[in-house]
Amino acid sequence: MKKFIAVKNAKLRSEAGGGAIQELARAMLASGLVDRVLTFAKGLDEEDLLPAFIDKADDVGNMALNAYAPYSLSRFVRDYGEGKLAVIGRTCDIRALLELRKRNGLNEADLLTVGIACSETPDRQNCLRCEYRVPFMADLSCVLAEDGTLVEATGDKGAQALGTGSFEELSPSKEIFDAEAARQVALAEQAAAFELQHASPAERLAYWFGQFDKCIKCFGCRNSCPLCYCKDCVLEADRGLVRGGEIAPARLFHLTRLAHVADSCLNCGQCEAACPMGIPISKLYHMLNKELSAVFGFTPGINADLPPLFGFDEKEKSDDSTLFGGR
Amino acid sequence: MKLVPSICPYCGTGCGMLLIVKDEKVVGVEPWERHPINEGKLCLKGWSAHQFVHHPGRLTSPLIRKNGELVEVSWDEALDFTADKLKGIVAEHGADAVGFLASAKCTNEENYVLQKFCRYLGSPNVDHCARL
Ligand code: SF4
Ligand code: SF4
Ligand code: SF4
Repeated sequence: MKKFIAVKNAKLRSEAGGGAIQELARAMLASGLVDRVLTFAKGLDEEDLLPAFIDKADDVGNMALNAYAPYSLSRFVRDYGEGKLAVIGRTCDIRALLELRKRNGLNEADLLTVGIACSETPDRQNCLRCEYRVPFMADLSCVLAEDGTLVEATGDKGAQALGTGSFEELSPSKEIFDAEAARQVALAEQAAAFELQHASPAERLAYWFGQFDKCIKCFGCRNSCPLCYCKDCVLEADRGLVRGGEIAPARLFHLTRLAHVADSCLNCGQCEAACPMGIPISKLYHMLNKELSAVFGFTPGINADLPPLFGFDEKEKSDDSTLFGGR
Repeated sequence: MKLVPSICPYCGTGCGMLLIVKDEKVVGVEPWERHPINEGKLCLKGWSAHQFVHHPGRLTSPLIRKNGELVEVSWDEALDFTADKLKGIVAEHGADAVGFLASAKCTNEENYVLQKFCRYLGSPNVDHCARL
């Protein structure tokens, strides 16, 4: 059931969403429901938005809601998350957390997810592919409006979190739902318009090999991808694929990473945002994921379904011709 | 964990980076989107820039060779030693006999101070690693 809420204290309502998210963060910390909140906060100036762990209820005023910065909160949970933690993030952050959870990359019991729908239809190139605006897969799914927040608890955990805050329930105007529906349509249209024009296979191959040849092997795409979570990345030297003292050849580097994550690519665009050579990597991953999705019937980051390439069966484990076989 | 804005020490480009600091130790880097030079991108060196900070092989105090062996000394001793040697060489052979190497790993301001010092001594010999 969706509720439209704002913080009870009318003085604190000037923030987007009627101050409800700050109140939620404050109350979750103050009540001890969580020890820390991971979210975006203001850095050196208003436009410097950085991931930050907030552990004091008094510090929630520094939160930066609903603004885009190309850092994946999920990676910070994976690498630095501990204790009772709430993540207040964008839909792509929440979806990445869901996929990491499936791969045992997170401590499920202690993580609470609060998703906030990006408020504008994003026009930055890297977000044009986005298909999931509203974070319906989060424990609390939020849409910010001018004077209040549309919030839905998707389970007991979300409801418990919402119960810690002092909110006033308002009645949302019809315009809010109309605007929300219009945004959804605009986003779907934008995502559809982004789908690659299908050139011939030979043209596509030439295009992508040309792109791969620009790669300087900074590993930024791998480092930024929430799904690339292996501790021993096969693309680094002396791991069976690339010899010590060498770097992976341009095309193999990309084809290997593609083979490892394309089935679960979230289309989050972090890899492309980090690429100093301007290679439109996410476009390729997204395109391939679309095709694999149709084959396997799997969409990453929206429910608990396991990805198609989740494990090795007995035959693969004992077969010397597979990379890990016979070891 | 907190993110501390800094500049990559590895080359003269000077990309902005965020040091990932956990329990007062630098454990990683993240490209800094807000920095105008690199706008959220790093090269391989930048992505690895945290690795030397707490590396066991890193020198943590000055060394002076005494009786053929390098021994750890205090900064005061190292600076006094260097200043004495520098003065001695300049007095005996003139300022032309000394040269100064600036570094692309330092800031503009640090390099300015270095060349100023070099010219103050009267030496024209100032150079830097980016010309190698
Ligand atoms: S491959 Fe790129 S778009 Fe896909 S999940 Fe990884 S970072 Fe996101
Ligand atoms: S981020 Fe770009 S340049 Fe760096 S390894 Fe990936 S594709 Fe290559
Ligand atoms: S990240 Fe790379 S290009 Fe940028 S300053 Fe460091 S070494 Fe130079």
